[in-house]
Amino acid sequence: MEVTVIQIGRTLEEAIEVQVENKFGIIWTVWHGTPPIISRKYHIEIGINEKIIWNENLFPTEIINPHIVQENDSIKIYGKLIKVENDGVGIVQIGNNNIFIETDLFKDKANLFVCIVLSELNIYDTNV
Amino acid sequence: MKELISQKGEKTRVIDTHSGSSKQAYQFVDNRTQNRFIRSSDVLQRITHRGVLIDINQLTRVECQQHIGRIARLENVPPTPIGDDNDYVYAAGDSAALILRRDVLHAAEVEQRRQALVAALAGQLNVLAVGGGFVGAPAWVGQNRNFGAETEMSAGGVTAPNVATVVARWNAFLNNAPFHNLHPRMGVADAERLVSADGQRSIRYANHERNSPANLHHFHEENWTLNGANEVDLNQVIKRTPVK
Repeated sequence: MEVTVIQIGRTLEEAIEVQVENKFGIIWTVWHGTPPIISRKYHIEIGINEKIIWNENLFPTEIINPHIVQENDSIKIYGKLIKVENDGVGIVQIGNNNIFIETDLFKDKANLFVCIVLSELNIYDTNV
Repeated sequence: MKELISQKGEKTRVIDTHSGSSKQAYQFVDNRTQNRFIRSSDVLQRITHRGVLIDINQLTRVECQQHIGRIARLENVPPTPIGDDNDYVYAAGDSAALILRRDVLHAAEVEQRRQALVAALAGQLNVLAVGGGFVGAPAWVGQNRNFGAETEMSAGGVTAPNVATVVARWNAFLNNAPFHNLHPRMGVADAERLVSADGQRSIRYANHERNSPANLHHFHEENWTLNGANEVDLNQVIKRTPVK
């Protein structure tokens, strides 16, 4: 997923707070990788380390347009849940990218539009 | 014998019916499993075997599971003891404490397995990179042309989390030795990739892939091509290798 770095915030222990922008939205994220440069474009992968629970931080939605928004202290990712594996791992599609999530779901929920609510979003420079 | 005598919200009162004493205990939620448990230090535990006290904090994961199974048998209506089940006596808080200890020990074992796998695969990334550079590569490979577009999909299913299986998969995908670690588009050294001799395929196994939660541990199979605008496109497949 391509993003443009528009602001750099605090340096954390092994990461940096970075505000990024792309066609899906503008959000503050936790950046992992070589320190970025403002205004430069990067390709990143999203990592979600929080356990995702149906109807707690994962909700069905009628919004089919993939996007990411920052609201107060949370980040909402709107995408399509294209598959849930037998062990509960879900695959959420946002544009051309896939994100893995660990869910409490145990049955296939293909082609369901969802909203994931997160406390923070970790992104990783893929160095492509 | 302890009994729950009231339960309101997150607070539970337990009573030891041997001594008649009671105390407050608080329920917690394990963020990983979402299981509710009572902190073991808050609960009067009394696992005994033929009158000898058993320290729950010394039990292995397997032993915890054995106790959990025994409690279930003894709590069946009517009880269905086997072997020396009746020689054990449990208190009300023991089951929750055993489940918590079992889960904590299991998580630690999984994390240990994940770290061992990551270390071995990271090593293989270097061991397999015996080539000195691109061989038989198209003219655009390694020439730092502009990046074009990317697509990404998940293969579905999983690759077994053992080194031999993953390395066999890497070999089968790259299928063009000798492998090296020069970036297919930029041509510079990239220690987090293993690249086919012709530079058109690579394995990405970097910080994110290695340090994802054990169940999300994965690598990427990358295909690089030149598009009509003289840019390099990337099509990739995510291969999940969960550690249980």
